[in-house]
Amino acid sequence: MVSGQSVMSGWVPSDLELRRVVKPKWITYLTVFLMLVVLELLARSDLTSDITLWPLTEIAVLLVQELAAGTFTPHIIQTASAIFAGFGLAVLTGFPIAIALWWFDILGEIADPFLLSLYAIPMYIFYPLLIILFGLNIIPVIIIAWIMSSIAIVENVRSGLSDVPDVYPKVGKVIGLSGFESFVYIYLPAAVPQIFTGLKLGFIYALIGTIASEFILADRGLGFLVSYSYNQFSTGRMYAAMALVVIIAILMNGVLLMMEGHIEQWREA
Amino acid sequence: MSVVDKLYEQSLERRNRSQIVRFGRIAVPVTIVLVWQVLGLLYPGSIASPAQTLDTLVRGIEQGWLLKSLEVSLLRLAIAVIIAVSIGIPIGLLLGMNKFWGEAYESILLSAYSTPKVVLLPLFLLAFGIGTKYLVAFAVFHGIFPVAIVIIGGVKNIREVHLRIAEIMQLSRWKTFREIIAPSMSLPLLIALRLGFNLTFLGLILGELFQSDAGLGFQLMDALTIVDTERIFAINVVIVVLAVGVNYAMYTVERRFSNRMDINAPEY
Repeated sequence: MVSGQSVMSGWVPSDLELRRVVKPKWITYLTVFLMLVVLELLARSDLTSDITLWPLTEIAVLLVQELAAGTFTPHIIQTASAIFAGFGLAVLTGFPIAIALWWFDILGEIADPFLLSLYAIPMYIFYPLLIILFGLNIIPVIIIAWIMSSIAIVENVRSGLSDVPDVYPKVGKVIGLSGFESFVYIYLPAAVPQIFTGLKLGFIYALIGTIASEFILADRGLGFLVSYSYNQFSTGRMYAAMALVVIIAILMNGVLLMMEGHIEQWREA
Repeated sequence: MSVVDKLYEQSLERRNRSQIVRFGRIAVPVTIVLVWQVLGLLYPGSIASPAQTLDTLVRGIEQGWLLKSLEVSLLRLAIAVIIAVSIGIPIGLLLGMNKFWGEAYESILLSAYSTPKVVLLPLFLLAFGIGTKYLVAFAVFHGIFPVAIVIIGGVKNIREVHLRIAEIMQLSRWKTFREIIAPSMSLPLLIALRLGFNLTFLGLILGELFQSDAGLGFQLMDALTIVDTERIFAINVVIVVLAVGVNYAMYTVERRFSNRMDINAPEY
């Protein structure tokens, strides 16, 4: 197959010529850059009023000021705590559950339809109930993050373990490994890519769950900062907090992707 | 033991096992309801028992607010899902079929999918004002990305061999579409619809929880302000039943299509 050519290239204009001149990655960066420029110009133009849309440059300045002044710090700490607590709890409870569902396949078979339903339910509907039960503090946020994170972790760890080709444990048996040993030395390493995917998704959902819950209703946190500033008409601070959340999310995604890349390399070795 | 005896034994085991599974699948929700009832008796202020919740549901229908909120939310949901799917599928098809543009924009799609888009909600409010329009737009914003991503995956999974055979047989574009592309894409399409529904629903609920004048999410927050636990439970039940019901229906259809695929495909 000619490299760079999609098999369906007869359907959409050929990309071969484009590829000689331009790398796809450049288009990605160019698009993002253009979007930022459009936002900046739109904010400074007559099309939007000064109170509704702030120019990105001014947002950036305000963000740096707020960060330096430390006004955002308690919120950052709350959000970070909730994310890591939720994710941590999800890992601690998710792994045993996933392993149990995999090892005892009857349990897994029974649980399958219910796990699928869990994916379908928008978990935020339980947030008001949790607030009534635990008060307006970090606990309901952690619980929501925990639940959303667990679902991803359990699903991926379990399917990672069950996708291990039968050959591997058979080799273990031949060598004479015990059940526990074969789990540690054969199943776990073989399932690492999928397990890492689960951890990655688990962290992302913990982050999304935390921010969204804080946004709906909370006493502190970055999500709360955005919605509170909106309700108080502090548009500048709202945009600064918004930008901070987006930047953090993109950075975390980038870090997780890099880690995934390293795991791939480690696997090759 | 003869072969026949062994086979009979195996079929008995299988039947026993499926009986256990069926029992388990009934036992789980029953246990949940029982535990729920006990908790409702232990903490009457904070937890509404199943009996109370049922009562609230019936009263809600009689008083009208339950059906009205359901109607409002479902209408918004339907519109949002249709729009999200109508935009997401073409985007997915284009980016999937063309390797260059697909590579260029897939990372943007994936990043957008895994950020907390809820923080951008004020932008929608500022752009569309309070009311249904901003909710639908916000929900669509949530639904587009998973649809596009799944469709891209689906296009990439069309077996090259099949396309080459079509080329060799000199099939027209329409024929290729009918015989190869459409069947191959039917499962990804269904999965995309289901995920699109789920995430659009999620976005709608978030929007209604934050700022809305009517709808299920609004009812939840309204009940929260006066600590009307029974109403919260009732609405949660409605939403769960809605979400699980739709997903179950879609999943059953999906299964029929995935079985067909398995017959076709030795792994290349």
